[in-house]
Amino acid sequence: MSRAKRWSAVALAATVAVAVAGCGGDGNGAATDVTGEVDLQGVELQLMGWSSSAAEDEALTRLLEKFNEETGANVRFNPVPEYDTTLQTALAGGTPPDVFYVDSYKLPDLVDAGVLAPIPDGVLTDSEGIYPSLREAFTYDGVWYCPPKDFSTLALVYDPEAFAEAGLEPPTTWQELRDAAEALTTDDRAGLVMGVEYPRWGVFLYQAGGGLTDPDVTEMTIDSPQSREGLEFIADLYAEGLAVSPSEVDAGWAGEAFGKGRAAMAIEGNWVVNALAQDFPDRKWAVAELPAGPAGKATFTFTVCYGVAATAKNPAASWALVDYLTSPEGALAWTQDFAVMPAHESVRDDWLAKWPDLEAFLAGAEYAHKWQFRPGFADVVGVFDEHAQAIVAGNSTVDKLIEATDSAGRDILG
Amino acid sequence: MVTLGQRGLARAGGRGRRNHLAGWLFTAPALLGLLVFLVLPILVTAWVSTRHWNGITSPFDSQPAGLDNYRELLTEPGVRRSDFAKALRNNFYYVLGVVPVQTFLAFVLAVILNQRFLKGRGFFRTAYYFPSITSSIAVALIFTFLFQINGLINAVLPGGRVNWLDNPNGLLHLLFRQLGMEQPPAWLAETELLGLSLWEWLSGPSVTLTAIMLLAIWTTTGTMMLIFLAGLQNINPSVEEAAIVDGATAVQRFWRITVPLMRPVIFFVLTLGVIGTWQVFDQIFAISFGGPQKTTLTPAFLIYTQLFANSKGGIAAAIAVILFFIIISFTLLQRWLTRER
Amino acid sequence: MAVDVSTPARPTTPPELRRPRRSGTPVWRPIRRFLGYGVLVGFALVFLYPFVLSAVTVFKTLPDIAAHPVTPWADPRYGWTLEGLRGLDRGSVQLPRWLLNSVVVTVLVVLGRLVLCALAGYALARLRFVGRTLVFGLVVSVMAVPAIVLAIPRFIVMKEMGIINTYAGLILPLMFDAFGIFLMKQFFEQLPAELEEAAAIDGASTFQTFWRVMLPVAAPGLIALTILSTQAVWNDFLHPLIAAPGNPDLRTLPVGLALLRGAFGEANPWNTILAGALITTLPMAIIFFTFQRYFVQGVAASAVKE
Repeated sequence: MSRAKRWSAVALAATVAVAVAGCGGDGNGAATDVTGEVDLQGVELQLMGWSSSAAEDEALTRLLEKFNEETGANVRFNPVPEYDTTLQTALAGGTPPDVFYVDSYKLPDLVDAGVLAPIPDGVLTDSEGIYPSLREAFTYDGVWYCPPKDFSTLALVYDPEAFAEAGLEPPTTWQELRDAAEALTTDDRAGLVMGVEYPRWGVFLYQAGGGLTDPDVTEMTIDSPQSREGLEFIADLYAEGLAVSPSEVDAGWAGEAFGKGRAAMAIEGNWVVNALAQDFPDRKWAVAELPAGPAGKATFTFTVCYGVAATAKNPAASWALVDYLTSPEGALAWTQDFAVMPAHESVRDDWLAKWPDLEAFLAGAEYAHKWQFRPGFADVVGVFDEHAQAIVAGNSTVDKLIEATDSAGRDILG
Repeated sequence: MVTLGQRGLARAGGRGRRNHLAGWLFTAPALLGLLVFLVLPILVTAWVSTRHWNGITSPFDSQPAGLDNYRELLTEPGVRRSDFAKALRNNFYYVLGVVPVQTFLAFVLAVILNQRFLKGRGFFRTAYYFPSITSSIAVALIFTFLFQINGLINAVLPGGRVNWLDNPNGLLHLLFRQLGMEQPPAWLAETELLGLSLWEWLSGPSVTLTAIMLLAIWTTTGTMMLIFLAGLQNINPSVEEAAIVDGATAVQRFWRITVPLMRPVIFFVLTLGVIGTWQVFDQIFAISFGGPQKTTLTPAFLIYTQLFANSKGGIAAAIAVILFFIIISFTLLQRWLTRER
Repeated sequence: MAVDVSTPARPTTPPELRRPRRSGTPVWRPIRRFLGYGVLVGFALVFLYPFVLSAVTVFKTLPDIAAHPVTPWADPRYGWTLEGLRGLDRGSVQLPRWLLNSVVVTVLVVLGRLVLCALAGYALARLRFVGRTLVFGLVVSVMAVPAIVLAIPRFIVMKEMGIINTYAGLILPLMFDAFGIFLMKQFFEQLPAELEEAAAIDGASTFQTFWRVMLPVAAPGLIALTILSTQAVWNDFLHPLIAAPGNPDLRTLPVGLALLRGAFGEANPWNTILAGALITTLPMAIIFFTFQRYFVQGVAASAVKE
């Protein structure tokens, strides 16, 4: 029996049981026990999110239609452009949507503002199957706020033909990465192309055992020997011309540079697969896990969850919807047709059957770091990015980056 | 025959009849709407600038902050202040570069396209107006393509491979380097204003910002041209004809007759230009996102990022308030500089 | 009564400009004219190119766009295609509805602005009343605040008025526009004062002067205001976005078309996006072309002769 049907049945049974027992219940029933006492018939809910592509919109709409059919609810998907602006205006103005997308990056801001409801006990029917790293991404101060809808990770996209020609295997260590970049750099092709910003450079810091901050984002760790090692490795790659920024090869981002054949390797996330299929269908590509650094493997995960508003008018119904969408079946239905990954380990193989080439992305779930800081920390990341750009342009050094970012971070973290 | 000019009549008290009732009746509807939908939100914003507002919950639930936001932006050393300083510096050069050029270009175009003997006036006017209405995506697409390292602009420029889109070097710095000054003198490098050294203030617009300025001029000249065209309709052609008969050249007619008679409209376009350029946001958001190295950061862009990416609504409001005073000052300055003498 | 108000204050030509003119030799004139037109046409083509390109790109395939973004034809290897247009047929796309909303909102707002801004602009330019400078100062000051920072406060005001997610909320706030008042004021200021004098002598009231005499003469300004307001409201994105976030049926064209863009901005279907952009641009071009032909010098001014 489908999840939604199960909900309705339980709800109906509970209501019937209560009615038959003759007493009206203690009036507080619905408020204190969110599970199992909710009738979804005719309930109107608004799910606010953004529109990624025609295919994704259609998949989500199909899922919602099924939910509506089975429960009699009336859930509407409301994709809006300029999501942050629209959502914040609705929240600040006092008209929050019932369920809305929450990017892991925005979670701390929303929690601190008190607009997100934490997951009540027992509402999710299969939460053990969710990857720990993803659950961690949506846990703040020990409380889990929302189940993830899907996720992406960073991996190494490379040109299999170029590698075969040079007799190389995809690199698994930093040294191999460097060697491969060197061997593959030619006059009109760079070895590696990578965006010049912390969402890319950060993986190397983690691979060296360092990072911008500690996992709880309470103190800066950029000024540590490990972080320094990571930074110097990257800086050297750029300095020696083995790595380039996308703009150096006339591209807007690394995916485009790789698609145009201007680089043999690129560090990007799952979305690059869709972009390559759409804009550069003739380009051959393969994916490998990011090479391990001195402290092991590391990557970033970019993930979004379904959050329920703290002031939602029907929290029980909202959570029922969230549970339906994030169940293993829901997750698979949603991610079947395009290259984002389901958040449940149990459907891992089903998804891989459809996308065998993308195993490297999926493997990243084991050792991914969340993309998340604290409110107000964006300024510090901005300082990092600014100096990273300066290093690549040749007018700054790793020391200056560390010093500036560290002092900015201390300021903000207090 | 009436021989007094506009000004003469005004001083005689005849022009503006003292008509308080009519004056207020005429302006009341518009004023009411302005008060409700513009002044009120502005006042709320000004108030919010003295609060710690996260931009996510209601501003009325925020905690008081006194002048903390202003301190962070103006007096406390830190990344917020230096970012704000960079934004001010960048926008200043942007205003200086865009406003005069776009005003002058639009005026000349309007005059040319107003000549009665010109065939195909309608076609030309619409053609020159097109960049103002063409989708900014198409414009940005062409822009990035033209300014690529292997693009057209570099192909026709003598001396080559300039990186336009990712180039943080300031024009003034480049000029100084040409003139032999590689390193700044100590007094420039060490004196600081708002967290930036004077040398950094004197960088000039970065190459990328310059490219964006060219783009802006190209897209807004059409709109200004339209306004000038409308203004030119109010000039009686017999004045010009008389001047032609009397032997004045085109240039003389331009400066001695057209310009003075277009004074109110010129003031309008200049003011519009100043107000608009100090709030530049769309191109930054679409093309450079503040980079490279924060050389295309502007106050309006900072407002957006602080409010919607950093949960710092109070800071965003404070930036808006400071920007407001800057714009008003520049407007008054512009008015004084172009006053009738 | 015939008052010749067509001559401005000063004598016909400043004395310093009076001198015999050296006319160019006949041979140069056609060459100069040819060169002049050449330059004008050349620049016109450059200015029109982005539009031409966007029209062509609608019919290119995505790989072709990625490979040759600025060529004005489809590479034969990829061919022409209708997939760009077909992309507009997505589930979340409601083009007719968005068009209707945009038209309704734009027409009503522009009409409202014409009335409000003409009245207020005239008063600020030509009527002396207590507080006039203050009001004008307010009008200009209000333009000095970026709209993005006003988004949330304005939303709250609109919510208190109960007009969120309604047509009133889309239309009403946009009618009150400082820029329009400022524009009309400057244009009224440009007109000769003798016009009102004449009307006063004829015994017209303030409103009659405004309605019968000043407004017709201010036609160029009104036309400019019409064109610019239409452009501004038609393309406005921020206000419709926050005024009607919960109701997709109230979406205007710019907001709806923004949905076509990919979330991360990387896998954008450019041909579809530009198809939408074209639908947005064409009406504006038509409006401009239609109205600009009223900019024929002297028609307005000389029509005043009674």
